[in-house]
Amino acid sequence: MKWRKWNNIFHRDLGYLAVGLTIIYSVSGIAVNHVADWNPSYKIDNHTFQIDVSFLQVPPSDSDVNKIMSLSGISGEIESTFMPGPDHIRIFLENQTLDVNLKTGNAELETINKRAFLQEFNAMHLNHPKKLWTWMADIYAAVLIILAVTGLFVLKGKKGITGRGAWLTGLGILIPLIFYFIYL
Amino acid sequence: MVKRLLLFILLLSYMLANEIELGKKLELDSTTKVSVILDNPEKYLDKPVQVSGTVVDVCSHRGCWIEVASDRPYETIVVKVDDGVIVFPITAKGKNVVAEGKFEKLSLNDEQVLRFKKHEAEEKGEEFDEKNYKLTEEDKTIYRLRGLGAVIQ
Repeated sequence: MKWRKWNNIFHRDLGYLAVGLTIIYSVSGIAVNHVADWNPSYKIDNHTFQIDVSFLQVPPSDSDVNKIMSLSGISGEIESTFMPGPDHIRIFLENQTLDVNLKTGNAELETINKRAFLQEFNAMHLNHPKKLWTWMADIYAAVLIILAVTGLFVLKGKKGITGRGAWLTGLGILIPLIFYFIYL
Repeated sequence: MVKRLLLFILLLSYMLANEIELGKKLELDSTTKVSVILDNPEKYLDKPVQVSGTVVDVCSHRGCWIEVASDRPYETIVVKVDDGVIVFPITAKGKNVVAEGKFEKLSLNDEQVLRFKKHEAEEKGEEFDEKNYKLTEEDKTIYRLRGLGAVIQ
């Protein structure tokens, strides 16, 4: 039948178009699904060490902050500083935060690095760009619906929607329903 | 065709790079000092306010809150957002933010305070000794900004 031919052409070509975004959304989906266990977009490393703070005045002056940086072996432009308490200073650099206890000299350096590809994938998946990307994501979602519906009618006969396809489609609908009734 | 595709990719790169505006557009004309709000919190309850300051901490898992430095030493205000609606990038630490939202008050009972503290510690990657924690009256009241929009500068 002619409609099936067009259905399959639609399914095939939209399928090709959707490959890139499907990979982005599915990889990011797995990463974001485990957000309770890790940061899916950034790798955060913490390194603790000790510095000599005996010479520092409290609150530390700009020159003291520079000395702390030098003693910690950190270079880079200081973006800002903050004192969470009278004996504690936090120094912010690009993607690094240095916390120093001004009494004990305990220091902790946090370094943030983007996770290659995942950061970009997640940003798109979670619609950080907003603007036109919102429309693109909506179009992609509509394409997925069309792919799902046209996919039902690609084959006819025993392996099509009137045979094996009906059982598998039914199972695919049943799985989320079972989880819904168990957990929600 | 190739030129159009390149133009589209360029446009897309620009949009992805421009991640500083989060959530709703800022509507208020002026900011209120954090110290002023915290000195008289009841006055600002359930009202829209705009604050500005250095981001001193970010939720490391979901990016669902930031801590903003006050104009007064050692003081901060938490800007909490609905999960997923706004995701503060962890790289916002140390940068200036202008955030807008509704000022809210949470009144917690003992059990809720412990759960809150435990959750807070987990998000910061710290340990929380629930059994030996001494509850104070101050713990039971939390003032924070329910963030709706922010611009990280």
